[in-house]
Amino acid sequence: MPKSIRRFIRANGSLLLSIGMIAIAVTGGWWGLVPFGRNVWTLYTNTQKLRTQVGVLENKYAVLSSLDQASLAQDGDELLRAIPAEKEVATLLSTLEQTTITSGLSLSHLTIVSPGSLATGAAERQTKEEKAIGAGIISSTISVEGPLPEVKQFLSTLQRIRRLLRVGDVQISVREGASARAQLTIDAFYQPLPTALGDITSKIVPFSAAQEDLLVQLRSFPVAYQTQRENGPAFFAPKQNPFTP
Amino acid sequence: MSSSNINLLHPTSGGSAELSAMTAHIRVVGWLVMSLFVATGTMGLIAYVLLRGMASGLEQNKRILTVQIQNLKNVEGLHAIAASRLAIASRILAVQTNHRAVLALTEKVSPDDGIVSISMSQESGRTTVKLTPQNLHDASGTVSTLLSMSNEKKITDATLDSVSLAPDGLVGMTMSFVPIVK
Repeated sequence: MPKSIRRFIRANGSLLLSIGMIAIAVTGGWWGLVPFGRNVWTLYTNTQKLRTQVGVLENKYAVLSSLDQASLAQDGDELLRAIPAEKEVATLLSTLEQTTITSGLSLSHLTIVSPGSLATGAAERQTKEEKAIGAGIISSTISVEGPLPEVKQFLSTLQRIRRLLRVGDVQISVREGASARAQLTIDAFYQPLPTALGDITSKIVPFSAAQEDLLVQLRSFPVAYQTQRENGPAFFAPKQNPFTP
Repeated sequence: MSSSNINLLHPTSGGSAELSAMTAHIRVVGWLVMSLFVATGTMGLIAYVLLRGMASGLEQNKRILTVQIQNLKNVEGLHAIAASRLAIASRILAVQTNHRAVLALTEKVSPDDGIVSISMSQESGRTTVKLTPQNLHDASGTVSTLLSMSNEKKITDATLDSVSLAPDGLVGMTMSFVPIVK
């Protein structure tokens, strides 16, 4: 090493040390601290997300633990009578027939529009109305005859039975002697059972007071039909093979 | 201070004072930068270790909770079925407007009022009613009935769309209104 450089280093040692410190700090900061800081920030945001998820899971677990499986199963069974998982044409026919008879009317005509389809549930296209309601619709037209007060009673009963129905078009003709003939279009509803649950972190809320009231209201509606469900398997039982004898 | 006047290899007496002042400044800056570097690094390291520990704990909690929730998936499924059906039921009951309108109208209309047929249909929330009163007198009575229903806030936006008179004396009336859902 030349003598002049050695003399310079000896004379400016502390200066060079300071410059070296600055260089190390700047270089180390740029190549080490910045990526490290970025990693710490990523870890922080991930931890925050994790904390939120754990909060949601804790809440969900608390809600699920507070629910009673037996009463939920009963609620589900009762609600399935109001909105079955399949079209259940038989229960619709039975409901309309039973309601007509109990109202003191005679059933003169009944048509069910497209009671069955060769397409699978996934292939069936939902109409705009079905999408709005969130359920499939099975339409029927019915003609009943009898005294006008009984026709009024029939209309009133239709909105207070367990298989939920909606009256569309109505035509009432009054005949001689206060006898009336009513022709109605009636929609019944169905919704297939879910095949999969949502994401584990999907929120779950207990039934609100309004939902509880609605449940009580639906429970108060009489069931106007009998099904195999009375003594048969629960609705979670696996589907039986339709081709077995 | 002009650095161009300082010769580091051969400092003059005036330049030497400037050089030592600059050296002192650089030394201070150097220590400051180094301290900052060390402090930031240490804090980052501490934060990293703490966050790793926290994340590890949270991951463990998440795993435990996931298993616990999966054990309750039957309850979740039942709840989902009931909740979805309650939502649908709520919407169905809310859209029974036509039904309610029919009931409201049939309460008012009877053979005593001379009505021989009523027909109702609904489109875009508007209910159209076709009435066939027996004569013009009954027709005016029907209009009064609808007016009273409007006053009782059972219907709104009622219009008389058409009136026709058949040779047999029957009057055909078409009205439309929007039922008020309560």
